[in-house]
Amino acid sequence: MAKKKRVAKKPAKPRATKKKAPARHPRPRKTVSQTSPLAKLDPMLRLGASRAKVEARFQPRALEVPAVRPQAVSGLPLGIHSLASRLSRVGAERLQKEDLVSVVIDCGAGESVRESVDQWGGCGTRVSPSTVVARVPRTELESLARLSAVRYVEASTKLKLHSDLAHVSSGLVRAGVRTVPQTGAGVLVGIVDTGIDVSHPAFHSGGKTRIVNYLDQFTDQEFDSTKIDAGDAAGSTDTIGHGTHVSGIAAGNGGGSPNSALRGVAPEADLAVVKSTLETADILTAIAHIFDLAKARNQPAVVNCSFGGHVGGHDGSTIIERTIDELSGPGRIVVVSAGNEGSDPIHAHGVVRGEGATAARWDAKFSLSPRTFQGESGPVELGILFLQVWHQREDRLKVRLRSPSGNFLDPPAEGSKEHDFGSFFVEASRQVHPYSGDTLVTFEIITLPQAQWLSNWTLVAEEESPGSATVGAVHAWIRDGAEGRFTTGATFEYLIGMPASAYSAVAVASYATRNQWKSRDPQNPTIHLEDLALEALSSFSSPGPTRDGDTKPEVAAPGEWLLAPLSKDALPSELPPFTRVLGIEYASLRGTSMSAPYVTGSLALLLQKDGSIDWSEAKRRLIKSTRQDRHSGVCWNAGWGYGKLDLERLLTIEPDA
Amino acid sequence: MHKLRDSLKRPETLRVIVELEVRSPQDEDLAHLGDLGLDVERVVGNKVVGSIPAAKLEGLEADDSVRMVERSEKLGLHGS
Repeated sequence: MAKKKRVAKKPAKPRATKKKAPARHPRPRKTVSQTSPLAKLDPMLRLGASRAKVEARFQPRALEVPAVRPQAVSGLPLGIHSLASRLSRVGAERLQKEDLVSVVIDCGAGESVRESVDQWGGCGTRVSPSTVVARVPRTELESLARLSAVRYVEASTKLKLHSDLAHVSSGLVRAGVRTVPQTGAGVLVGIVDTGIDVSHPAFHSGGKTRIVNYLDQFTDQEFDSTKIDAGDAAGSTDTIGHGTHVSGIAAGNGGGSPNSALRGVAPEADLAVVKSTLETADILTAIAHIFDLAKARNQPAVVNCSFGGHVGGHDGSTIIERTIDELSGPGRIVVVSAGNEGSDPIHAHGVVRGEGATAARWDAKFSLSPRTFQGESGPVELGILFLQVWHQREDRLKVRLRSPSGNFLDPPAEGSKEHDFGSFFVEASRQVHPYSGDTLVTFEIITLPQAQWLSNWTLVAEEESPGSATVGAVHAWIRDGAEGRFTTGATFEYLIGMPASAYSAVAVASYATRNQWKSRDPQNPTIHLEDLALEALSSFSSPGPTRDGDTKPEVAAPGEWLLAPLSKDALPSELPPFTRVLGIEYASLRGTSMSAPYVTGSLALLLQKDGSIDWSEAKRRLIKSTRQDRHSGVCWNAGWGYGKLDLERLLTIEPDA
Repeated sequence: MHKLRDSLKRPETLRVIVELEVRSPQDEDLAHLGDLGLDVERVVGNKVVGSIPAAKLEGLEADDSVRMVERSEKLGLHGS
């Protein structure tokens, strides 16, 4: 048996946001603020304010007049886009004349500032205790700045929603127009994830839901579109927000964004969503459920899996991966995120193959991270690390651990063995994997949280006798970066997760296409990640290949900061304010979780063109259509796979003769 | 001294994925798994998802009808 301990694993998170330090609102310099209220105004506004009194008879230049939000969400007090419908007649006339200016106000007493704006014929909404978004008569900008409660007034900058950068980069949109006729109509897009906000307008069409089936694995409830429209699925919320975002990237129709500009890749596809526990047992049944549904509906289907882990042989040999292979076929394709461990030292690799009379040897050092677990009598702090070491069946190697105290801990020839030293406990096992025939040695280490037991662990692999290894490749994975890290021997490759290493699955890497947006975080209203190079590979994107040399990832797609639907139930702890886009129910997220659904939507377009395409033909066309540039270099390579997704080319490639 | 491992809560029941030797399991195959202690939840091809008391896991692994057993592993999301 592939012996895997069932220790609940915290979902992998990408590394800390690589954004610049939170930009505070610029504070007026003392010397200036006391002499001129204009110092409180965004320079974009100053020109208008100073000109206004002099040039009142002229029609001033419009700064920004964002589009009014679609009716479906216009009633929600979300910000500047919802304000136009609340203007007085005088305000509406002023708006017509374009002398109302959209601003974001940083202030101490938001309610009084909002009332002042109303008195001047504008309108405002307090979005936080210290932030008011408003439309203010241009002639009153200086008056606004004079209010003692006002710290700073910033021009509301229109978001560049049209021709979203990801769509431009992928070739889906040029000059604001989609380049391909396909929309995903008639194709079933399956999402196995954290659920979906069924009420989000991006998943409605003509007042009805586009979700044809919603299965909640936590409650074992299943809803068809009739039940969803009746409100029966309202209890199956997406409190993490991940699944709603992923669904929108693949198949959102832009509902809830101005002019529906934030469309997903396949905006007319049908959606089947599984709110999953993300346990491999349930993932397996979720994928089978979606393909069964597609068969019953006589539709081609593509299923998205934006998750993974580092258990198994990293060669597609786990049961769930081989089940994906079995379930895939003509009109049935699975797409999986490559992983976000590109910068995590959780993999070590060496070659143990000698040529002389001495047995070859290799080692790698690692340490554990202390964490809190639920013990029999309450919380307990421990270090726990699960290590899997694989070598090929041709080789006779001795794999063992050396503890910080210098003890060598060996697995038995077959089966498992416990080593108990009081301060640390190790269960070591060895087995020949039933499917691949390769040798798997596992170590589960539990230590007291003191530094001397957490560090200076060594993994040692050596030939049983000189020349006993013919290949000699040894790979070791720590299950999760939260458990520990290699301090020597780490190689930042072979980090494609499971089940992305499934042979038939399309594994997707991520690159960056956005580095700025307007957020709802009053302390950080303009996110600008200056250090993030657009079009460059995401630092977190897990590189390949697989342990058996499969050239994964196959393709890279936009995945670093994509704007897609925000679940109304997403908890602030999951999606903090800086990820939430100001004024609309959309969020900006990153990860190979985001690049995978981009490819899922792309394959939905391909399946609309030809519903009989299977995973191998889909991969052939993906690979043949990719583009390379100065960022990707020559492809295939471990980071980019075969290069960047090029949707326009993907949909013009003909079947292989 | 108490083993460190014993200070942790261990599940009494394990969720597993079982791969059978037969390609298309029949009712009697599933009944046999039940006899081994497996509470069958779903069957996908020759893969069976179910739960089993931890004490009965070794017996399941050793059975001739079983090719491979994997414990159900929680995977992590790839986005934030």
